[in-house]
Amino acid sequence: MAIVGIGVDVVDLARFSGVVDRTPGILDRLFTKAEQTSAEGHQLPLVSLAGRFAVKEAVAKALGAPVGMQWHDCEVSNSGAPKISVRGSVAKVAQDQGVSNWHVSLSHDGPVAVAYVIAEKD
Amino acid sequence: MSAHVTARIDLGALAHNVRVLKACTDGRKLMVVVKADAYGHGLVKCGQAAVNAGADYLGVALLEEAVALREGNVPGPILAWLNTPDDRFAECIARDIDLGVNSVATLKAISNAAYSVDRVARIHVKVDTGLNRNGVTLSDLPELISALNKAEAEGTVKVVGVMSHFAYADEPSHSTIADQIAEFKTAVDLLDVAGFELEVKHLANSAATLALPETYFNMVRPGVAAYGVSPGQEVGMAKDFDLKPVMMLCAPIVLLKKVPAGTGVSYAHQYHTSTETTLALIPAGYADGVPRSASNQGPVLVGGEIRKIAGRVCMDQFVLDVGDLDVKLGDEVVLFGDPERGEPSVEDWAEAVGTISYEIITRIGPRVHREFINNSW
Repeated sequence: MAIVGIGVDVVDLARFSGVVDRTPGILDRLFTKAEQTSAEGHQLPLVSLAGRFAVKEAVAKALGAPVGMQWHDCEVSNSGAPKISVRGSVAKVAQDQGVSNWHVSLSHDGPVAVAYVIAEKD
Repeated sequence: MSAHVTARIDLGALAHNVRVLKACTDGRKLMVVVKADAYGHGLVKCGQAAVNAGADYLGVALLEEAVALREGNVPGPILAWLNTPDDRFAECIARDIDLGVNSVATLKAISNAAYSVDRVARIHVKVDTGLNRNGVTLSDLPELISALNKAEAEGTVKVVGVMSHFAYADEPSHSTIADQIAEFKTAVDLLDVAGFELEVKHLANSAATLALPETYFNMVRPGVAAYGVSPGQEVGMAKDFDLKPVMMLCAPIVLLKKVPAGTGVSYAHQYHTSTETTLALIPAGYADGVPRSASNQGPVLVGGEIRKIAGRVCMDQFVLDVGDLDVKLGDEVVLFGDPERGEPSVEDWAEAVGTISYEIITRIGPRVHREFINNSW
């Protein structure tokens, strides 16, 4: 087991909700349909989506800005703890770097959402 | 008597135009584009005059243009946007020059250069919203945003702006304009949501600045209009917007000679005199920026009348058939200037030779003497 990369990112909630209010369509650019809903099928509140976006940006940092990256290629879900699944551009870079496990921690406090990610290989 | 061609540059007209452009944008910031030697008008003098008249930013294509402005002691924000990974960024970063970024490769070069001089490079993201020329497409933007995030976290760059350019730059009613505005808004949103503090968002060129308020965002970026030249017929005439021509191109008559009817004039005798007449030699040619395609076409004010060039434009000279006009050796003729004074316009020249006004003024050659004057308007 070895750490391949770490990434941390902060999303300002007011800024995030301001952009979504201005351009609701941006959610579909940033998130898959599945990501926008909870495990029970409810539309997630913006504060949760801001956290999921922080995870995507933290994953990108952990991999060092993946070539050809698309936001949909890093999907965040949770049933209990948040989970990361990668595909396409992000999966390719992760595979090249030998990443086999993702660890993620999310925190919401006051005006920000914070995500911390560790990419690990066996 | 000087044999030189003179481009008389009215910095007072430039200042007037800058104030006009600033006034029409309702308090937005104004970037005046001074690339290509200020569209042939003289980079440092025009840059300084624009700043003095209220320009908030100067824009250039190349790093060396930005450095030349700084070497000329021109203050204030300057953006250079046509950058490649091989450019030498360190000096520009040290001289407080903002840099356009169109790719991860260019960003990496800028980030390394910033690290080497222990400074933070100020970045404007150049987005391709449909011109399909320079800039990052929206599909490549996530990767660049990730790289920008990383570089900001490392402390080498700060994203301060986003910019784009229109495909139908001089046709403000074209259907692609709305699509490009929408693409630009999306790029702004994506950069915004990624946490970048965008100080300036600029899309509007001259035509959009004059005709399309919905393109203003918080800064406009006119070029040709600042020099008192219309960006295109669809937009209207420069005088419709109270813009004053800045450049007047003139040259002296250096030889007068009487010739009989039927005389062939200049290379290949492409013009023949119809009567006994007087030919005037003008020491301006294609090496000075008078297009060779202006042969028998280019309009020139001589002796109070507009005459077309007689025969071929040569490298250094052309000929006018001045008939019995009251002219003498040393009299100045005007190729273009202010139509309000009866002089041909830059637009007249563009039409006469089948090009656009931009090409006429930016190709005025380096050996043409720039004489700077300062009329009040």
